[in-house]
Amino acid sequence: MMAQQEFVSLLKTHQNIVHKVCNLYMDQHKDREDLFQEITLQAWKAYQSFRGDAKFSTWLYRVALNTAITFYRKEKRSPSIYTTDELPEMVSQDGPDPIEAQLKAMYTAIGELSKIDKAIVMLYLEDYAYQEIGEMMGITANNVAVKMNRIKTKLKEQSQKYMEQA
Amino acid sequence: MDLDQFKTELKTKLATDHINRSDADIEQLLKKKTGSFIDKIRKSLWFEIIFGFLVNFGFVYAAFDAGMHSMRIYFGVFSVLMYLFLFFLIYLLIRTNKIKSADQTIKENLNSYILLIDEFIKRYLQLTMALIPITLIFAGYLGYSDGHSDATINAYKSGYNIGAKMNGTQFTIFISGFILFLSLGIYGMYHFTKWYLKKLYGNYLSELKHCMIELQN
Repeated sequence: MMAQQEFVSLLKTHQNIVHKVCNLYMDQHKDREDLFQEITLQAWKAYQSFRGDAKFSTWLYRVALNTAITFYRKEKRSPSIYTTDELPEMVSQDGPDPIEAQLKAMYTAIGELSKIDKAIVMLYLEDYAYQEIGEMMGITANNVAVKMNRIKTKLKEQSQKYMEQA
Repeated sequence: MDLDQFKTELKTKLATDHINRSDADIEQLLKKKTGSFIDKIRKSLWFEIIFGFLVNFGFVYAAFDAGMHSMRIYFGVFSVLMYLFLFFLIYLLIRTNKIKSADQTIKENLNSYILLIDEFIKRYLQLTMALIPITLIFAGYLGYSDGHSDATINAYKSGYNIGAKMNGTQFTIFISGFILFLSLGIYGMYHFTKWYLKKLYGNYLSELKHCMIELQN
């Protein structure tokens, strides 16, 4: 019971991590809710083996990403495409904000990355070093660097394409 | 336009669009059931193990109680095979329970999922397919060797034996047709089971393998 209270308190403090992963991997509200629930349950199951060797946040990232990558959806909802309609309105009184438009294009491009690339981007955005990302993914830091370069190029091209379309 | 240019904004964006959960909300979530694929397999294994044991009690009973000698041998051998199958299911369940923790590296986690589902599909297909010819061929053989027992002769007399009412040519045609029908049945059953397993687990397994290949490249 003490362990459960401790876990609930830790998860409450770090729930932003789980929300970020859910927002990154799921584009529908219902799917995000399902994934949040699944991550919470998987984290609780794995918590018994958490010995505090790593920071709780790092450990939670690993559990959340593992769960998101292997998450199984019973029924297929709409295809996983990030619609710009879900993002906040970016038209100001002076007309469309170019920075907001670029951000929106980048967000859409990230939403179309593969599950593995999304995990790497997620950890990169959280300022984890390549070495740490490699340890979480189970690959070398060099491999992470190569993948990250590839992802950055892909995101640049894709977001520019979306900007042109807009 | 670069990813680094928007690092802070993207982080903020990802962290928004949600309602913060309270302690009570999280506690409530902990009472719910998990819906992971591994749990789906675990539930399926539990069901098959319990169902298999119950059915096998019937087989064991028949092995001791059946009137015809061939039926006793048939159910006896079949219950032994069923127990072997059940032990294999228990082995798979133990393996499934070992990978329930999601705090491994992403590569290790993917690998354990792939190995488990791959083995589950492979062995399930092998054992299911092995049971069909064993059952049919063994049943045919025992029926033939038991052909001179009193119980079989009585069955002939009561009119259950189709072959007894045919001449030589008709009987050959009947047997050939029957063998062809069985062969097609086994062939169809093989492909149906393969298709069904692919439908249940195949697409998910391909998705995981694709992630693994991507991670390794």
